[in-house]
Amino acid sequence: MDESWAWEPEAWGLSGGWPAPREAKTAVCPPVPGPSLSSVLNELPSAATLRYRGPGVLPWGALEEEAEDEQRSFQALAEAAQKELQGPRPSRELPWPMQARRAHRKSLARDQEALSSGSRATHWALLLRRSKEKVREGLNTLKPWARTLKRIGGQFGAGTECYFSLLRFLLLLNVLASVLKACMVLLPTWLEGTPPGPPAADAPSPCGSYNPRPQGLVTFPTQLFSLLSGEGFLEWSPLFYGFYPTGPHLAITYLCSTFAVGLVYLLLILHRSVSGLKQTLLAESGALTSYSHLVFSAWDFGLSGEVHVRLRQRIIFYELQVELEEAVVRRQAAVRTLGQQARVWLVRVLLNLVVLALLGAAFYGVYWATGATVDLQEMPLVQEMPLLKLVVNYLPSIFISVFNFVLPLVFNLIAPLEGYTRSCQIVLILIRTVFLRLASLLVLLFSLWSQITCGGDGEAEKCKTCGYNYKDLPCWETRLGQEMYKLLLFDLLAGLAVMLLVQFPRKLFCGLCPGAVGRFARTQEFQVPDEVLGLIYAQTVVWVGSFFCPLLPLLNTAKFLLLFYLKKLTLFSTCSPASRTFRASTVNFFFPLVLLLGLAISAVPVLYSIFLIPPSKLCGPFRGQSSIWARIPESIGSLPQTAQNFLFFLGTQAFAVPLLLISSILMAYTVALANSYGRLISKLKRQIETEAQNKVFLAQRAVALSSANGAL
Amino acid sequence: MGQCLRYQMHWEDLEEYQALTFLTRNEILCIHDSFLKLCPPGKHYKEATLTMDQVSSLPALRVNPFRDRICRVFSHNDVFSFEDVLGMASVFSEQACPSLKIEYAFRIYDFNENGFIDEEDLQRIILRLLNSDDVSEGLLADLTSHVLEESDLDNDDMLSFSEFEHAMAKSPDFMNSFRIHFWGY
Repeated sequence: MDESWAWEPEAWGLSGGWPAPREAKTAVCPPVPGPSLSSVLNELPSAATLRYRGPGVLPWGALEEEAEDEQRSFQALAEAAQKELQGPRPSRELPWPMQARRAHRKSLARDQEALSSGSRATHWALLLRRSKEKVREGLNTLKPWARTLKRIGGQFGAGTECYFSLLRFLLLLNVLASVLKACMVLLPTWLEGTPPGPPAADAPSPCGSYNPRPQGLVTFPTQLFSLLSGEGFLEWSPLFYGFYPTGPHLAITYLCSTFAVGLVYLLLILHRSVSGLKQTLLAESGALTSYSHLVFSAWDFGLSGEVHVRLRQRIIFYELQVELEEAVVRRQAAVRTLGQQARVWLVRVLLNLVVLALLGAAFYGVYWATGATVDLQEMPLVQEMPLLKLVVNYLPSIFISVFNFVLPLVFNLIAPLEGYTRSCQIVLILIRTVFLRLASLLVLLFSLWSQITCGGDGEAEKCKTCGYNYKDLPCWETRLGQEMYKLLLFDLLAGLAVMLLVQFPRKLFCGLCPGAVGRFARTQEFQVPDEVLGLIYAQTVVWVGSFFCPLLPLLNTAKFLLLFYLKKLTLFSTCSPASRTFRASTVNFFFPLVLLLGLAISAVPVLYSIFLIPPSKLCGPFRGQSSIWARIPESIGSLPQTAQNFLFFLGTQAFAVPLLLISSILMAYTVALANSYGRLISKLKRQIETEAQNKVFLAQRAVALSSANGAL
Repeated sequence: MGQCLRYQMHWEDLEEYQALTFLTRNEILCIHDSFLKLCPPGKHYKEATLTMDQVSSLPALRVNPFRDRICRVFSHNDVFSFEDVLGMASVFSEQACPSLKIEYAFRIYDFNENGFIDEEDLQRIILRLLNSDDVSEGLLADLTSHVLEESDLDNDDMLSFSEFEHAMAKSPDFMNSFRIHFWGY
């Protein structure tokens, strides 16, 4: 055990060998006859099976002379260890050389033949497992851009790879949604014949008139304006809700398509987030083993390329330093006096108030912008100039984008002042940014709602006759769809503008700037959390809008496809690898949760519109009904009696309350089980420690006894 | 995938390699292609061997700070046969099971090959990671003591395999970072 293998850096032809270790701590040999403590410890079974490298191969770390009898004893030990394992391991999982695995596989096959002549259950189980593996392998080959993602991961790290993998996943979601919508909405419309045109202008109706078609000769700027804002020729088109006629079946399939698509989204997102959650929930509190993880998992073995490697080494150095600084901060926090604690908490409360004030100002700005759009559009100056009209139309989108861009920068500045550790700061910034993005969307929807329903006041003058504000918004669903369409378009245009006007010029022109300023301005990094939150925001907008604008998932598919290639181009042309690695585990755990949150939030306006707001009387497949949902109970009435009774039973309290109780019991049981497993793990850990102490004690006694015998 | 020469590998061999490793069919064929490019001409691929220099100059391993350890752990008698290369690629592939990766990671990180990761090994790991000469003694000692404090359960100043396994099983990033793609792009 005291032999050290010679290590010659020159043999590798390196230009500068690796630094040698500072203190080589060699095992101290007591100057007594008989075995030493270290050799006794090395003969233990746990050390032996580790060094066993397979039948017919020298045990690892052994000299030539000892090989013979050591090998025999190792072999016996290994076989004994194998027999204790529950069931045979597949050959490919054994850490042996290929020859040994081949022999193992042959012996396994022989055993299997002897056994399975009688039992068909194991035979079917084996077939099932093999077919599952084949299916999984087949699905993996279907995924597009696999090589691109691996290349990105190799050059820019796992965090960036996860962003593109999330983009690919969202693309799949949108493709599935567009296919479902096309089958359940477009196909029935086409099958029922040509849909009727917009309602005639002179038809008498208590709810006003609705005339979406443009009058007279349409100029080109107006056409362009229509394309960008969803009005004009696009307003009465399959793009928006208002176009679809009232058919008996179309109404039901329209509604069912929304629920089916929502269910598909939920299942796929849950399926994706389960693996990430599993890994993170298994870990005990992460703070306790962070150093081991840093040292052993720091190097991403998939990295290639000199520049990236040097950068990665700088990153690792930085991370290790940060980790040590955090330990110092934690130690300082533990010994703070009461006065210092009070001061720190006062600063934190003040900064949180500042953050809340900023968020409140942002939300008020969005609310005001939505209201001001309607007022500003009345002005004659705005009516005449199409460019000004476009800007006024896009006012809410502009406000939201500006706040989403500026406020996270402010959060980044505020966070270091609060005295938390770096990882805590990152989590806080993320939470605040998520809240900003999702809540600003909600505020926009809220202001639209107050316009549609006159602030919820059913008796207001504008809303009394028809239940909604028929004067300003004769077809309110189309208006909602238009707002979401505009948000989608503006998001894409803003991304393009940032890329063309900020990122590429920064790389090109600051490349000519000398010195440190130039270098600082030139190195851009791919900000993974900001980009991922932008993706999730865009997808939430589509989720809200797809009920009112059935072709929105199709548009979003095209947008994400374009975004993939644009981001890839920007990444490879202008960005350098991130200076702070965003751990893949955080991306896999935190962002699917935010995606689920976005899905839940987007369900609220859609469900509210379906159940509580009366549909427009002049447009859409639900015109003339009291609520959108009302068509479903009517069609249930046409089903056979037993089906009706069953469905009504599902809605009663006699079903819902026991369901709730059983779910709560199951959840409490799972939580208790997880807690007991945690306690079991700590108990086993303590047992390992005591057993190890026993082992060292016994080995010392063995050495003492044998040296006493030897001295005799 | 490039122009992979398929005609030299029999179908039964390919099936056997697929069953004995975690690699897919295409990956095995591409590694076979790269192996044929590097090994001396005229020899059948099953008998040809590569030196450790040749393997450590593969593009996937060229910049890895642990490439000498990787070559040492996976080679037999200081040379690489084709099956050794396949075994190495299988351990580093995406589909490999965690227990296999942890086992080989332990062997790679055990620089002095005494069956334990002790302080000397930890210092060498950190120096290789940072690859600079001006790492302060204090930083090294701090880090080593922190790592041992967290993961050394029996207080013998070394990490045995089970302690290492316990620490790595809880690390969600270990599987992601212990991956190498051996075929060229």
